[in-house]
Amino acid sequence: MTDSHSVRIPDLRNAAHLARLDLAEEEAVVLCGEVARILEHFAALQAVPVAGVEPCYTAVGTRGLPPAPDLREDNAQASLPRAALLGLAPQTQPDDEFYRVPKAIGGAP
Amino acid sequence: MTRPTPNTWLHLDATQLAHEHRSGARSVVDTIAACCARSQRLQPRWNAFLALDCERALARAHTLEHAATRGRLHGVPIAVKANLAVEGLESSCASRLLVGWRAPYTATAVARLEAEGAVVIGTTNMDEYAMGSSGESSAFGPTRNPWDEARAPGGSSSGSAAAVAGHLVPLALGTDTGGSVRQPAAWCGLAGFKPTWGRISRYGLVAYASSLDCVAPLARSMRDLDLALDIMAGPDARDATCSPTALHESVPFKDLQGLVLGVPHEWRAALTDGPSRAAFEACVEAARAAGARIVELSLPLTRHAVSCYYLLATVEAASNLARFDGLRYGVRAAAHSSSLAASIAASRTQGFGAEVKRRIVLGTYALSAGHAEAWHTHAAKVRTLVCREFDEAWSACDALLGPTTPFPAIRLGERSNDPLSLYACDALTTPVSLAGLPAAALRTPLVEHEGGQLPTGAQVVTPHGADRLALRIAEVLETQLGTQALLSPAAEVQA
Amino acid sequence: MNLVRQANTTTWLSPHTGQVWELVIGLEVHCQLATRSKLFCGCAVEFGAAPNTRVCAVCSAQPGSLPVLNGEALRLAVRAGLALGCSIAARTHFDRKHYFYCDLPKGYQISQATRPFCTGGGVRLRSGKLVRLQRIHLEEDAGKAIHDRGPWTLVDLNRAGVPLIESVTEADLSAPEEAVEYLTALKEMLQHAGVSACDMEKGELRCDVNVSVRKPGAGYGTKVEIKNLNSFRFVAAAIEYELQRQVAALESGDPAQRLVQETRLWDTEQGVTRSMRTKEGAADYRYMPEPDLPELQLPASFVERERSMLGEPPAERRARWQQQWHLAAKDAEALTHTRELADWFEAAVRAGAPPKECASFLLNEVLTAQPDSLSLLLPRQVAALVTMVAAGEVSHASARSVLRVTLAEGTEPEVVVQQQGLRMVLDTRQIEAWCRQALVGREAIIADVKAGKVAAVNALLGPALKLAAGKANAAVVRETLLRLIAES
Repeated sequence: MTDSHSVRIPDLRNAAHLARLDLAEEEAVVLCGEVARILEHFAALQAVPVAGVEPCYTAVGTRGLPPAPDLREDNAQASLPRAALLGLAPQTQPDDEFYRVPKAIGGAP
Repeated sequence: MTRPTPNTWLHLDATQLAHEHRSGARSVVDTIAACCARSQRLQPRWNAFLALDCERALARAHTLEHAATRGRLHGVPIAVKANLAVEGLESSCASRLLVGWRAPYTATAVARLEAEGAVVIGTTNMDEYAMGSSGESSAFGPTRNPWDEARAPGGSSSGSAAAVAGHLVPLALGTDTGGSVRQPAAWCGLAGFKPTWGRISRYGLVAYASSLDCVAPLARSMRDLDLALDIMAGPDARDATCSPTALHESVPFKDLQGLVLGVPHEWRAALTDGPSRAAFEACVEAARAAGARIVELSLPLTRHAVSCYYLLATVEAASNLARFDGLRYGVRAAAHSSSLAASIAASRTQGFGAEVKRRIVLGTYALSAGHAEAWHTHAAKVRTLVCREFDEAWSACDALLGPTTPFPAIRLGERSNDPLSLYACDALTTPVSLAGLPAAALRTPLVEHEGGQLPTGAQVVTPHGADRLALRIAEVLETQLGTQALLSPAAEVQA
Repeated sequence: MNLVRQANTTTWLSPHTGQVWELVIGLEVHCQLATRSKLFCGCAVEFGAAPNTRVCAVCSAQPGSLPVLNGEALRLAVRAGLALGCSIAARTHFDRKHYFYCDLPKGYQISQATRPFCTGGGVRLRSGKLVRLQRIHLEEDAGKAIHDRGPWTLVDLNRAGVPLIESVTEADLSAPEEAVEYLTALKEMLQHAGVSACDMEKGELRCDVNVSVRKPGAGYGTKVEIKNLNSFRFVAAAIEYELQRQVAALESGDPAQRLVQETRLWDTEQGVTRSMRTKEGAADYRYMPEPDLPELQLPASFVERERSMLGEPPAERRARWQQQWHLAAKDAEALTHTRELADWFEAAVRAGAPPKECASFLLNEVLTAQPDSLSLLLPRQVAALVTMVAAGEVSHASARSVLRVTLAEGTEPEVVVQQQGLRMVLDTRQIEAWCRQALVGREAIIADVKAGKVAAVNALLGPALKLAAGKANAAVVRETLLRLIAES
């Protein structure tokens, strides 16, 4: 394992933050420790030479790409009834017009 | 002592049961009522279900009883893993965060089974969001293995496996991302099938790792799996990654004459205990006896498959689980401050279990700025090499034969505090998942293990699209081995 | 501080320090595609629909739902690229861009990072300057969050999943008016290609502006992004404001005013920009290929089909009309206001209308008659009317009344002219007869005309036309009068 692959706990805590996990100190220490140990084990993968190899992000295999996909026709279809959707949402009433969520401050990231 | 007779339906497979319903030899309502009653009574024992809806099932049974058209699964009770959407049923993915989520629509695979007359009786227990290999990461308690209640049924399709092994239903749907159906099949003495990725629509499958997830059936006969595949497979306008290629016709053959089966020595070498090794060698012998030529070959990247799989799967999982924010469905946790950001973080932190959080942190890290190249991209390149390794194997053989798991069912709690040792259970299933190949999990002979008798399994892996070839080879092997009628002790358990 | 623009340049002089500054501007424009349904599901795209009534399992990110690409959105994105001279990628894919917010149901936006549909291309300004495009990509819009109604933030997902293209320029612009000219041209090209209606009041076109200042020849300064400007006027004003603010900050040397890379919002009321958040500790979007959508291959035939749908770029069309048909620049400009109008005008000319007369009749009579005039008329009807006017067969005044009848009743102009007897008398002898009658007893005027006071004839015009009861052409009558006087 090279230095560039060494796992730093602050980076894992940042990952937890990016994933919106608000871990208590004790939980953060335990969890990040476990993940660091797992990653150190996985680091053996770095030894596999991959120069010139294309990454594969889908299980369609290496024998070429699927044909250009069938595209959806641009026809408007029925949406779900609003009451059915809003009825699934916490703190929102089925007869509301909007989803109710806690006050957002500062806008989207 | 004579065997009790009232529950003879218990031993029938789905094909036979549907046949008897269609012919009128058996009442659909009787079957569904008996099945619901048995499932309810045995729920405390194995914890196979998360939501049982007998009322819904019986209402449907009454409709089917008098239906003019009778499908290929007419009146067959099925159980569906709780990460598949069934309109009106709770599909919580065994997560605290998703308690109460009743899907507003039905998954394509489930809808197709229902269209052939299947009756969903409930959603089954599982590892939370399919993240686990033992069923123990469920937020609602582990499922027990009907063969030995101190042991895990395997995971993540733990409840579906227990429901079939416990003779609660003849057929159940699980999902297989890195082995989540094949491994419980091996540990519960069942037939399980992971199709080619993209063969069965994923619409309605709550995504764990999209590029690996497959809807996968569990049953007690290979013909049931073939039937389920035939019904569920095929293009779906709601899943752009679902293959438009038609399923090959089933080619019935009696033996394996003329077929070459490759046995990767890395897979064989992964078996740690003598009895498991003997069970697998019996399977290889059976293949030879059925006329197959056996060649030994090498898949050296097998040893990296678990690392490669977990890196890619957790990156996708971290992304797929971003939608669980407690805003539009599920459970919104009380936060220390009233802001949106605090609410989202609180819902996720309190709603996800430990294993899910571990994988989200792992996957987020492996895709984060400065680390993505070394971890995510690198793993994706290794995946290409894994695919190539299989491609080369197909020039030497028609199918691969290997054990499904390195060891038989583990005891509950045995590895739950050691994630890495649990990930090791997936050593032989993940390479196949990375390449998106079809694999049939078959039953090999029972073994003496730690003082008890436990099932073992093997998998037949074939090239992309040759799903039915895998099933047929597995069926011949089970017949040769005499494991096709394997009955768990649970079959005798009276409700 | 008030910087002084140096004449005929894109540089500004600071009166206090004597330093010269220039602007570096790049634009990111989000434009809503003209599709009926959303990008990845079948929900209708409908401005003004009741909240959360155009939402399904997919666009509310119900667990297990999957996106399926709208073919029309793909076609329009490719067409946009072709209209702007971009190269179209033969192979492309979607990526997920991750962030958490209440208007983003999946926790990621399906967008494009590494392989956009279109790269290169650009828009040429009147000065000849080319504003280069970096890329155009296809992505989904977010929902709407409303913060000012009670204790909750309210979320409407009708807009979530609506198809957008984002076009990104290089930092090639150097003045507010250049930005406005670029945006105007971009909007016009997208409208004419049928890519988008670009209705800014409905938020169909939204601009983000990147602005920095520097001394001529220096490297790039610290960049500020101003988000979500929904009018070109605000774009110009925000750039102007940032120029003043940034130069003031740099010249003051005050650490409190130190420029930071940040996102700012335009305050319409106060006419200032305000800091939204700094880019330090900025979002890490963790782009990854979208596994739920297959990689896309765009065959040449697909791209060529879109090329055939493009139509002539409006600027080229105007130039051609001016050159071929001698149209006035302002008429050509007005007639290319929309693709529909331009096509309509061309159809009328193809139906035989003389172009100049047709242009002026369309702009001055038809379009001012009533708002939906064009939809009530056929190009050949206007062509027939304009041809009659140009041939002197129908007077201007009559043409206006014919138009009213045709608009109201759909009657063919020729029929109206016939029925109402509006056709002009072209018979020379009849016109001469009216003129002779008008000349009777007007010897004084005849003498004046003969003496060279040609304008005196105008006094006879009215009586002659009156005798013709409006059915004679004034110019012809005047000419006939002059001829008869000369001959007498």
